[in-house]
Amino acid sequence: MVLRAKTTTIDRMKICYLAVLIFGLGTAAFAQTNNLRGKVLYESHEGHDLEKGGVHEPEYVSLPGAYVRWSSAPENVEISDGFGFFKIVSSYLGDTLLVSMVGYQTAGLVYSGQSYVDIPLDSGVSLGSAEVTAERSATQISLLNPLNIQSLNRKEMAKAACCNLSEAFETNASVDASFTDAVTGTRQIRMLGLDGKYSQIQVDNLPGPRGLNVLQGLMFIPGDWIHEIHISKGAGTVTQGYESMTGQINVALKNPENADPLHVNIYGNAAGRLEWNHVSKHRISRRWSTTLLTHAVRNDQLNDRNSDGFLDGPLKRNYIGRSEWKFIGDRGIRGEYAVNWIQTESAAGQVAAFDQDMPWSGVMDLLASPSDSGWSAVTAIDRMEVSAKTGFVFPDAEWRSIGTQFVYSDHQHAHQFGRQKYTGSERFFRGNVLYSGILGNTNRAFTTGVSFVSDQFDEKVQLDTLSVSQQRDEVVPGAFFEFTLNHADRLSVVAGVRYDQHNVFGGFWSPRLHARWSATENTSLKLAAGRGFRTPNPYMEQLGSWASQRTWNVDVYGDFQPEIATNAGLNLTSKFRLNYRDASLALDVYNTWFENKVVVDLDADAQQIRLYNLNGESFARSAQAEFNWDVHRRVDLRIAYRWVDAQTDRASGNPTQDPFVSKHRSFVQWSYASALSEKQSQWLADATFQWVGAQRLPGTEKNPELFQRPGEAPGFTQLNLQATRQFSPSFSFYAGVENALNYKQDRPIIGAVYDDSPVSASDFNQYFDASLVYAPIFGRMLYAGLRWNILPPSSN
Amino acid sequence: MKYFIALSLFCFSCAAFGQKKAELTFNVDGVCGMCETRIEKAYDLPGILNVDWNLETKKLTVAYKTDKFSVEQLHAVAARAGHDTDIVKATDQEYAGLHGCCKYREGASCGSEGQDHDH
Repeated sequence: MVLRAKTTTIDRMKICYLAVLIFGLGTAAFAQTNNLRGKVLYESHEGHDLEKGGVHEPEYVSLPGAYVRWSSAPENVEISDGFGFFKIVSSYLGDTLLVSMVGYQTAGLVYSGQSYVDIPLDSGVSLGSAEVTAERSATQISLLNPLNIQSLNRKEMAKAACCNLSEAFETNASVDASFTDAVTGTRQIRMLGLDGKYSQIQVDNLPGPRGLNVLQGLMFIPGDWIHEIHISKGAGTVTQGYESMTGQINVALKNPENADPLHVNIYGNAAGRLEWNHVSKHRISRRWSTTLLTHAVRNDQLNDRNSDGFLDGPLKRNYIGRSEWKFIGDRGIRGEYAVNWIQTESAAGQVAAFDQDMPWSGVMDLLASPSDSGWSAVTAIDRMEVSAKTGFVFPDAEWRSIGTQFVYSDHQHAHQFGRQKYTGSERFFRGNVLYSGILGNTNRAFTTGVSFVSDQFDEKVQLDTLSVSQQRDEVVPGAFFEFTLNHADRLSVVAGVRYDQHNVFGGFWSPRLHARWSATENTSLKLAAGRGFRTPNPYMEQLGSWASQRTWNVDVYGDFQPEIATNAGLNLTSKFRLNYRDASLALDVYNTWFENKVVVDLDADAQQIRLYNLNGESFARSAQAEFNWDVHRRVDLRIAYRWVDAQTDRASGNPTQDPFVSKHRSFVQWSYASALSEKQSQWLADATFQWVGAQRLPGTEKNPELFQRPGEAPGFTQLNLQATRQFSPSFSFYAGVENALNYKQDRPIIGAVYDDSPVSASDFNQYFDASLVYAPIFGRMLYAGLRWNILPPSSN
Repeated sequence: MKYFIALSLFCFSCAAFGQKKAELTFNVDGVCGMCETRIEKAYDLPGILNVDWNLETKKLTVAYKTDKFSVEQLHAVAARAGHDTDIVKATDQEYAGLHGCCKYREGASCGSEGQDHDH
């Protein structure tokens, strides 16, 4: 799409300080009056693709920790501070000032009596690895990382004006997104054919949506806060816990290093959803900087486009805020500390349950006392998270470091769906201490450490027939070791193992292996294998079933067991040139086998959701092919196809194929970017055409005919279009249409009135089911928004 | 599925039935990342398929349609942006338009010897 801008990968700046020699201090005291001051800089390529459309205008950023010395006295080393500034005793005219830093080319400046100099370093040499030509395309797959990680940057996320993380995967072949039910608008994801709960979702490398928050947590990460998303298929690294089975999704939020000084995003769509996002950063002192992120959503519009008496989407009031503090110390200490507040309220259900002029407090009253005039689903969630990450790099050995990660969250969830009420609270703590070092040389590195997890659940369920209260306290201390081997840039292996002692389930080993072999410079083969376990929270994981009259048949609580799975897969990625332009092809095969699983059986009885431990076999196989091509200077093309076969043995006679999983899915994405004008204005256009194949739906054949639905959902197509006008790098306006072909699921809600066939109250109370959803409900939707960087990027 | 096959066939056929194309590599003088951006942007022209300038080797590799550009014209593109090539030199006026740190004729080099833009 753009001219190839060649950059060399800059490995994360490593602060490496040498203790200032007593000798050097002595010299300084001796000639205090005559100093050369200056600043060390490097050329940043980070975070500027969105504004500049991928053409690199270099921006110079201060570089702390660089060595500064005279060639006449190389033993006197000064080090640039957190702002890149340094001060060194002047030398004689004609002496050369040498400035060096690991990962950068050493610069030499002939001294001609200046009192101040700016010294930019070229990031010519990257650490140990061969030079990698990184086209800053929107989606990147690294050929060198042994883990199969796909990175989506802000440019990719701007292609679909996604509102939050749950909507961010529309243009991604590895992750499927669908609705949990036809009323609440909650989305869930699937990786490798399995529910999102089997992948580990992290935020800034700390535990993200999990536990009771596993589904809705995705909605609490606003798209505009996201800097990058890293999707890794396969079991993942042991250093981040035992829960990953099918993959890891790490969301890197905007932080004081990469956020714009003041950024605002406003979004509105035809369904009445209004959104506000803001990100700002502020430098407090030389060492401290902070970011404030806010997000608000409001939707007061009652939509019922298909006239089935049910709202097509929920009414909403969401308020989310995050404050992050970053510390960069002088002696190799770094810290990131954050607080997150989440307060959300949403209401959905039959239009009859709501009055047009109902105040919001009236809507939320339905949480305590549901209306008699209609079925309503009201949810309130309050959540608070605190996290602290502190890292220390040894001053005399930059390859040795210690890191600590602590996270605590308090989650309060209450909902009332019809006459069924649920309240749940979760208090989660995890501490992780990591030590990294090398064995002999940097080609043999290791990370080891210990972790401690405490997870306290308190759930209360009031159904028509039963009232259940459950408390569960989990305490899981664990230890892990991971070894990384690099051999001649052709082969690298990450092998890890962790042991966790669960207070309820006993000890558990999780071995993990990742290997990368570069057959040629442009082709690499990756292998991933690993085992993981998790404890299920069925009431929250099967949120969709609350939007039905199904009764909960939870055998599983009599014999509560963890879910255990092993995953293995292969990936082949090849980069090549097609018609003189860059192209890549990635082929994946993954397989997941369950040792135990909480089987969700919606087929045994259309009025029940049955949950029981796996008795037999359960597996998910998937294969994927993705082709990316820079067709033209202005056009990018992506074609992807994925195949999934997910099977679970259910109680005798029930189908083994997992419901709501399409065997085939494919999409084509076409992106256009016009040339940048003098003022850096630009047009961008994106079109994504998606085809989702047939899916099995849970059986309803025992219902009366009016309340039956086909056992197989038809395949459907979806077209999303978006155009963005960038007026300047700091201001752009976008508009688009989702589901332009206006595909809507036929009669999505069992028990709703379609085609004027009346439904009696007793039939509704027996057969109502809004959880059999496989396609969009709302149909075509227009939206528009703007992104505005109110303050210019800070100049260094 | 039919759509995808049709579309991919369409794309490949565009590539196959296009005009004659060639790739050329020659020296272009420049010193830093800013130069790289400037040089590569200058080749954002119809008939240019791809361009890459390597800062370390000073080599420009350009893929182009042979009916749109001659070799001399390709050299001239860099020169018009202020960067000398093996056979076409930038005029003094064009050269004067460069940023201080990019003045390669004076031996400027971002991060190396010269620090012209600092004072």
